[in-house]
Amino acid sequence: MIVNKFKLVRDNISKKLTIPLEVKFDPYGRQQMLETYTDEIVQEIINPPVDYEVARFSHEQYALSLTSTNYQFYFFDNSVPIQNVGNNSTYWKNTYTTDFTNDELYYYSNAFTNSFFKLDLYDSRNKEVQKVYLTLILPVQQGKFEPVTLQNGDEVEIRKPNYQLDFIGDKEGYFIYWLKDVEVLGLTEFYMSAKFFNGKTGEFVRLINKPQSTIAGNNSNFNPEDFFYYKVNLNYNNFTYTLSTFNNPFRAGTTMNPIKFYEYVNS
Amino acid sequence: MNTYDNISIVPPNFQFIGGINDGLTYPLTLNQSSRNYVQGDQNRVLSLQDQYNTERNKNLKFRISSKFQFIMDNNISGTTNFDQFKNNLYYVNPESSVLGTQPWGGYPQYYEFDFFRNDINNSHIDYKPVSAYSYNWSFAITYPHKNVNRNMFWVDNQGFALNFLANNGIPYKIRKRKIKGKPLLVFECPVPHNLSKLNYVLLPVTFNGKNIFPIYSLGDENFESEIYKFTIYDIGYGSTFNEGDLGTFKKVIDPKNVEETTSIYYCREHKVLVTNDDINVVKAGFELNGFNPEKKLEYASLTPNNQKRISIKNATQSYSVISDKDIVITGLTDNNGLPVTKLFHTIINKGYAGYFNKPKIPNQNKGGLKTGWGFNITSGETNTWWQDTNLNAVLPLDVGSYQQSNGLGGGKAGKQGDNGGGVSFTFYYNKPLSKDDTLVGDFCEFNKTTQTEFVISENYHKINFNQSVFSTDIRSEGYYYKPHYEIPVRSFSTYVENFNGSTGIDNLPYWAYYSQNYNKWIWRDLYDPGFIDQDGNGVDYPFSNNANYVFKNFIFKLIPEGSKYKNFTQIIYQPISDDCQ
Repeated sequence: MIVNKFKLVRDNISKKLTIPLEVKFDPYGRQQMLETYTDEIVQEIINPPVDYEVARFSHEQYALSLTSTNYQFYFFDNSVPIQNVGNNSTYWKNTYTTDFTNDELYYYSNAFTNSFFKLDLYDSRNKEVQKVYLTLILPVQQGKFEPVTLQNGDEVEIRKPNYQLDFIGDKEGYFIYWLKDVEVLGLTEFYMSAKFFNGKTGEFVRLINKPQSTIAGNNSNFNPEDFFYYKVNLNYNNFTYTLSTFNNPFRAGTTMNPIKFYEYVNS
Repeated sequence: MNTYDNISIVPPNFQFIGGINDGLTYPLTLNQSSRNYVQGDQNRVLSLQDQYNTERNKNLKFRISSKFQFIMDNNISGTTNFDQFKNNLYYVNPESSVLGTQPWGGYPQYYEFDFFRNDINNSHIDYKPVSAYSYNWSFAITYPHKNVNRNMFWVDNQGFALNFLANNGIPYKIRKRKIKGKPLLVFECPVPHNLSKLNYVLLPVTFNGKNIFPIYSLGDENFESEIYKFTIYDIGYGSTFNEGDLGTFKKVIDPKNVEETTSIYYCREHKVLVTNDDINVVKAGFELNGFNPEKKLEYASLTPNNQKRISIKNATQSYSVISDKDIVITGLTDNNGLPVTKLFHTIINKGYAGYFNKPKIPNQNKGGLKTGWGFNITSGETNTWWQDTNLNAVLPLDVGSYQQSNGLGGGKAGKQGDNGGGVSFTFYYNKPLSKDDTLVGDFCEFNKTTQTEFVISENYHKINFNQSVFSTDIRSEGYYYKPHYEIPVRSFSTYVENFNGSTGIDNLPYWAYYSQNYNKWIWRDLYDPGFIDQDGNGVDYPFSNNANYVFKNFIFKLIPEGSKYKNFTQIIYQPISDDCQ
């Protein structure tokens, strides 16, 4: 700022000094500026809009054009003593007949139809810090068939815990519905564990990703992070998901390499 | 302001002996490090409703989902030599075919037309579940971005034809009548004329040097004729107007300002915003339309391949069409330079199975579909607009193709080069639209001084059977469908604003039209979202997640050739009632 020059003379007499100030800045727009600033402050104070909309993720294509997601669940044969759990992987069978009678399965008894698989998707494999964010339910009314004989001798087909989910046909549990805006939680990777809720006993059993007989060392005291999970990755570019074993990049859930869960037997 | 406490002022006569006590100056600087506190501006009352409205008004992001009822009557039958088709028809009189007195013939299965194909065992198209909703139809979301001129053609009910351009206006045919003793020239139009009694018409003929004529009345004694007919009082025009004359007219609002008040006529051109890859089509729960499905059991002994199966001629499923992508219309302007207020679901036939869509421009692999307008669809005989020789009706979309031949034993089809059956067939399909592709749309009128667009005639497509693979009785037979379905996302006011001052021009909307003759700016306001005026204009979609959730119901009709076509509106008006009832 440039001001006029003044001469101050010391004569012990009080003087009044008038200083003309030339103001070159312009207060014009201050009002609008304040309003804009207030809007910004209001936006900071209140909860700004967050996009909680969900998008539909389908299974990413593999083998050129296949899209099905394949799950196989194996239950421990109850006729085998549980102390033998470490002996043979063939003790786990891909059938409901280990827990239900053929008639219960064929006639869709309440005990059977009230059963279901529950797939929980966590953000971590560490039980102490993990949170469950998503759950997929696979009803037992879906799945492939196996031939059995009823009590009256009839040859019939019943459901088996072998799922081939796709865009058409069996599709409950096929799509994953998750936040459309990736920045809301920043999660694109989940760890999937499985439980089977048995409507006949009212209990649930946990499932692990390989038969206990194949676990080296103590097969009832293992690191749960290594055996309870598969990995799920969401791809926001084309809204698809891929499944894999948690520790390697190879695709799982495909027709060639389905996701396999085995009943965990606490022996 | 800086402080100067440490500055000592020493007069020169105290500093040096003989110093002249003169010329003492003190530079003073003023530096501002704070600003005034304006009490009134610091207070803000937070209102949830106000904040909601503020965010909603600013937001131009739309999430679109619609429900379509698919309605058709599968009533065109034919015959085919391609085994895969022949083994899967809905047979007509199969007993005669077994006896050999007539070839196997019938209707294509309903899934050849439906939004969804469920024939998972169809080896002809190598069925993939992920494509179940995209074999037959392609979906897109478009907006009208430009006006284009198109060659048009109208044939009246006596067979007289008129070639004209969309820019020429609306076609008419003149009848000379005496109504209540008054000599009138009745102008019959195949489309709504959108005139009022106060309007004038600009005609291609002159009388005493004038080609603008006042309207005397609208309609005659017939129901709804006021929409399609208007009259001019015959004051003795003589041979200027003759019975049966064909021509086109334009609407004029003010004969003293013809240049600005004459409507313009054009076809909308749509531009693709969202492609088929970003649109999900799924069954709309358990919703069915109001018609009965037609199914029958084809007995093994009454089929050419001795396979028992269920045949479906017509079904009733409804579908949801959902855009994966959010649509932001910020900065988009429509075909008339106005802010975009409507988007469109655009649906085109893909027909991957190959029953239809033989290209009309074979050397370029284009033109599987034909396009026309509502007035080109007439009951009875096929309107000549749709003849193969009329290249103006060809929609120049890209066509793909593949070949197959009959397999051994008349079972599954063989791939190209398979010499099992010997006879090779070529199947055509329309490729889906890509981003920014353009497509012609409705025939419209726009008037600058009223700032309104009026749809004169809706655009239609036609699919014809490829006679090389499926031969129908009448070669031109096919189905019509409407490709564009309007989704209003904003709304203009019903009133027209105008302004003729010289100050405050900065606040005019950018779409305001300046009339030189009236010396004023003219525009329509944009209603805020959620505001519905007393006439029901406006949009009020749910606003959440920082986006507008748009939902509309539509009926998708596949209209067979020769049907008595009538485009009913979807609006069912409430009966008028008063206090006496």
